Amino acid sequence: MKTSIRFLGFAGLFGISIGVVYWFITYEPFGTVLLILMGVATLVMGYVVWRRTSGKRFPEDADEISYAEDAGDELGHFSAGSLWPIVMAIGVVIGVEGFVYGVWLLVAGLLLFTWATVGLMQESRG
Amino acid sequence: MSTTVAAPPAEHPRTRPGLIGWLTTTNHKEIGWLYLGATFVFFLAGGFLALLIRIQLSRPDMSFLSRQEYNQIFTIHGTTMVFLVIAPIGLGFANYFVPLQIGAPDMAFPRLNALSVWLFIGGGLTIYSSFLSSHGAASAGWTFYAPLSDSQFSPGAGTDMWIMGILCVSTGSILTAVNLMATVFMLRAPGMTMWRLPLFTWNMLITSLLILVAFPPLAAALAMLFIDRHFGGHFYNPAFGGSAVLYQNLFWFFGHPEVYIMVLPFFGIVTDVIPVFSRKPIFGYAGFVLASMSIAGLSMAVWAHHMFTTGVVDNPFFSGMSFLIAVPTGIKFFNWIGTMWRGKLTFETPMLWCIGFLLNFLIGGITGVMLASAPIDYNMNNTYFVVAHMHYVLGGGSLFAIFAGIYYWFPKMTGFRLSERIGKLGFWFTFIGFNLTFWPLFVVGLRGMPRRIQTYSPNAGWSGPNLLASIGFGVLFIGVILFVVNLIVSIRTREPAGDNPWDAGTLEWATSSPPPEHNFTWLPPIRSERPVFDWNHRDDPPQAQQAPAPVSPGTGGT
Repeated sequence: MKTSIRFLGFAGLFGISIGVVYWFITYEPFGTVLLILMGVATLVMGYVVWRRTSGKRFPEDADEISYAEDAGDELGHFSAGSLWPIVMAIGVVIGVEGFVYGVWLLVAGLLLFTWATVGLMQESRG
Repeated sequence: MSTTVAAPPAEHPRTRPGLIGWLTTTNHKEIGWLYLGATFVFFLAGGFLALLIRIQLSRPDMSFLSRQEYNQIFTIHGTTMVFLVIAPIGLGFANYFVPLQIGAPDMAFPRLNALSVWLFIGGGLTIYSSFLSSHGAASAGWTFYAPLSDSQFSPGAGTDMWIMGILCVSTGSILTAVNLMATVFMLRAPGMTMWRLPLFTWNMLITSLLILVAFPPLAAALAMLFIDRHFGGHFYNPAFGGSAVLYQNLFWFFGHPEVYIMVLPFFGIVTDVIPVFSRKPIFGYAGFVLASMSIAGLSMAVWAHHMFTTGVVDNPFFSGMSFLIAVPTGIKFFNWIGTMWRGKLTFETPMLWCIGFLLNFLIGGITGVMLASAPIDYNMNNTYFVVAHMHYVLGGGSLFAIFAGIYYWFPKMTGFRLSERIGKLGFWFTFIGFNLTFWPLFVVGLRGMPRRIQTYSPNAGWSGPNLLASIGFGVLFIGVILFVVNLIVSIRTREPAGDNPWDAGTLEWATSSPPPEHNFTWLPPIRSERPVFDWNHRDDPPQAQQAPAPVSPGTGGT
């Protein structure tokens, strides 16, 4: 996991560094803000990965490991199909059309979106 | 509804068959198919629009399309190819192959993955349905510059539908990027260290980070544009203290990384394919990864080279940063050529497409370096030279690599091969047609032909190259038709491919063709970036290799 954290860390530091360099060359605020925010956002991602993984050992990071050493570990829960993502997407698409054609579409889209959100929450608990 | 998976999982039947199964699927491979299928349909639609453009421009003073129709068609053509074809097809390949290449049973967030693809398809349909609106589709060009795209110059619902469609597509892309990063970070098989990742997966990881930092500024730019159009905002209106250049800054802060979002995945495909048909490992694995990271990093700091002629950006800074990108890109060319050097080259169809990619992308890259020079750009800005450059990068580069990926992975995805004979014929038609179409555009660009004009005078000196480009497009079109014919013929004949027809080395070739529901029933030990090749070519089995992982059934769906 060290490589993942370094990857995000270097990307974040690059964003901040280039933002600072950009400021002192151009004194232009717009690009400076965007570049530094890009770096900060990437550093936040790196921090989250570091917090979630620090102190743990991961079999995928081992150079030499036999599958027997990792046997029995649960990889995770994988959905075997769900109606709710497509309902949610239809809700979003209809909802944004509401900004173009009228509030009634926005309401319909929001209802679908909310219905799908509740459905997904119930499904993930089940 | 979930499946608990113990390592490595086994096949179990799909939960729902038929159309309902496709609509409710959360399996990464089927979502990959949905991405690829939808992008192919959009590709045909965008190609048809290009055909209309080339007919209109084939002769001077043509009136095949009205000015307004022409504006709509080139806008939606550009939008389609950028937002609905080349960028998302990389996500489609990634959906299908990243979990397979790292030994994972699925993407980290399957439902989120399904939401992403439906947002993409819904956004694309929204954009295309705008042709039916009262003022027709959007007509402000794919860059949608303000104030051209504001309500005064671009009235009508078509423009708003474009904005909303792109917002949906962008959201889908961001969600997929999150998913891909989580998958690569957290779901790799034991022994699949980051420095053993297949290079397509590495490039998708880097592309995902680019998506995460580049798409939000686009969403912000379009949201502000919509507020300007409908809610009395003045973000881009200088008369009320706004700035039209603000839109360009925000757009290109997204737009230039977007170029690499549309290129890096296909660098990855080419880098997976070339070693297989050179019978050598990739030359300079670490150098390639670091070059991809460098390209991605530098691509974030070059956005204003699209704005040299505005006169309000620091041209030397952006020119210098743009020149720098040529260095890591050059390293990649050394990777590819070094891999082929003294390899046992064979020229199956995927390799032909890769070589076509190398030649075309080289032209696109070199003309990019030319345009990175502000004095040259001042002369070439908004001419067909830029159009030709862009098409050599995205058409001659990315599209050729996409075809390489399709021919390379089709046997894995379906269990049968595409015809080599039709594939090679299609390649030559596409390669010759592509160069006949786009090389003349460099010529008319150098002669000063502006982009986005509906017609031109016979005395302008642009007639001959334009006619040649339109004839070339016909040849290119035949190449695409041959690909469709190849699909139909191959689906009918169903020549079995076997699990690893190319003797490839990455992990997707360890499983059956097509792969089972949760991908693997066994895994070879992972000790390098090509574990399947190591396993299949082990010289001393007792000493070097351990037994493959046993089949371990999942506990089933609920």
